[in-house]
Amino acid sequence: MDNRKHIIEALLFAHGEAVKIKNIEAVFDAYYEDIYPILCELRDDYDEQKRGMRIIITHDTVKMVSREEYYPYIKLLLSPPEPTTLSQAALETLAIVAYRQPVTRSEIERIRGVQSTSSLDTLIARGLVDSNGRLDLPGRPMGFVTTDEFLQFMQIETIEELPDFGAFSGVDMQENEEEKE
Amino acid sequence: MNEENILTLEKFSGPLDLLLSLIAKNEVDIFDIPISEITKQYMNYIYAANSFNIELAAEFVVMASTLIEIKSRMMLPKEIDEETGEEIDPREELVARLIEYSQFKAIASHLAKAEGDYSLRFSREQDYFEDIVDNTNLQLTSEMILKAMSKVLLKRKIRIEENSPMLMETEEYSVEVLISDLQAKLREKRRLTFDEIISSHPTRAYMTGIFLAILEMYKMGEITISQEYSYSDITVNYTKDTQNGQ
Repeated sequence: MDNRKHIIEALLFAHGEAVKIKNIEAVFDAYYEDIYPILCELRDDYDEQKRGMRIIITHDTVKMVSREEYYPYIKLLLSPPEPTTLSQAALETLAIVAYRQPVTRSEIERIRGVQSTSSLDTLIARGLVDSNGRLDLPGRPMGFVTTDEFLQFMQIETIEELPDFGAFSGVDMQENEEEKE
Repeated sequence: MNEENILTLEKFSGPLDLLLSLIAKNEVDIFDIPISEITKQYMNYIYAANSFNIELAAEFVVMASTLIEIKSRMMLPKEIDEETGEEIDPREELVARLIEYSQFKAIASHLAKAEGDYSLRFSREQDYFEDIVDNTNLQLTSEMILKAMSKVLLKRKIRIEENSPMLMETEEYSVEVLISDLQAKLREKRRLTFDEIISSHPTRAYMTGIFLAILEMYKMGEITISQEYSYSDITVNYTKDTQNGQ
């Protein structure tokens, strides 16, 4: 029997945090196409049995985490920090980065109508947003993008899986794209 | 529930947020905003909020001037778009901004829901091993190194201000002052860990001072100290004035 599924389970536990799928491929000297279905199978096993752990898969990484519904019990054993919540300002900024990436700080501030430096700093410190270098726009401004951590946050594999909010409101999300300075 | 009526700008994340709330409250069509009435209500908020963050205030004032400009353009003869021959609505640009902003506001509340679950999931921290694979093509930029360094320093709550000279200061603490500080904190929280106590000033001088203060308070019988195992965090329990039902 192919025991790669169980080996991966051991890898995820021993490694902690998010494991690069590329590194798992290297362990088995296999391709993404071989490894990905095993990851999905492992994830589905955990979900079907409502195990204490869950497997969160993104495009680049896979991570073993405790299942959120068991948090109240974890709290009885440990004193984990109270869940920190992002401010409304930070959430709006994160929404703009997610749907307009790569996006400049000035574009974020144009949409929100308020300066957004501290929100961006918070999101960067939390590992949800990162800068991906200078954009080819006048002044070579810094472009901001969401990270792999953000995909885990949303429980999606790629940024294309973000829900299409433009479709809901009937307004094209890309409409104002050319206004970018 | 009168407190809800107190005008405050701080609960709005910006001028657009305030405008959207006024539009909702007045139950008017976003594509046909009664500019005169909305401007009046908007200005009431601005006037009422006399004490708050000056930077935020500036942004609210910019919007106020936009509203007044639109209001005055509404009173002028209608402008005609030369290409289409249609009337130009002075409100058009503002409406587009409001709609764009309201979309992101909706997305933000969706993200808040996702965050709810996200913050309840834990993973093991990767502290024993380093990834051995995939370090071959490592390309480091000075920005990446700075970021890594800031992350380390952020954990200790020390910030590198860009381009600012570093000030080396010697800090002096008296054990008496630290004891009264700690009493004040413990009176409120009852129980604190050593890490929590030092997190505000993670300097060697403060840590030493606060450690002496803890020993002193223990001697005075005001606190108990516990530690689960060697090197684990030390918990300080306040045992003085426990009259409030503890």
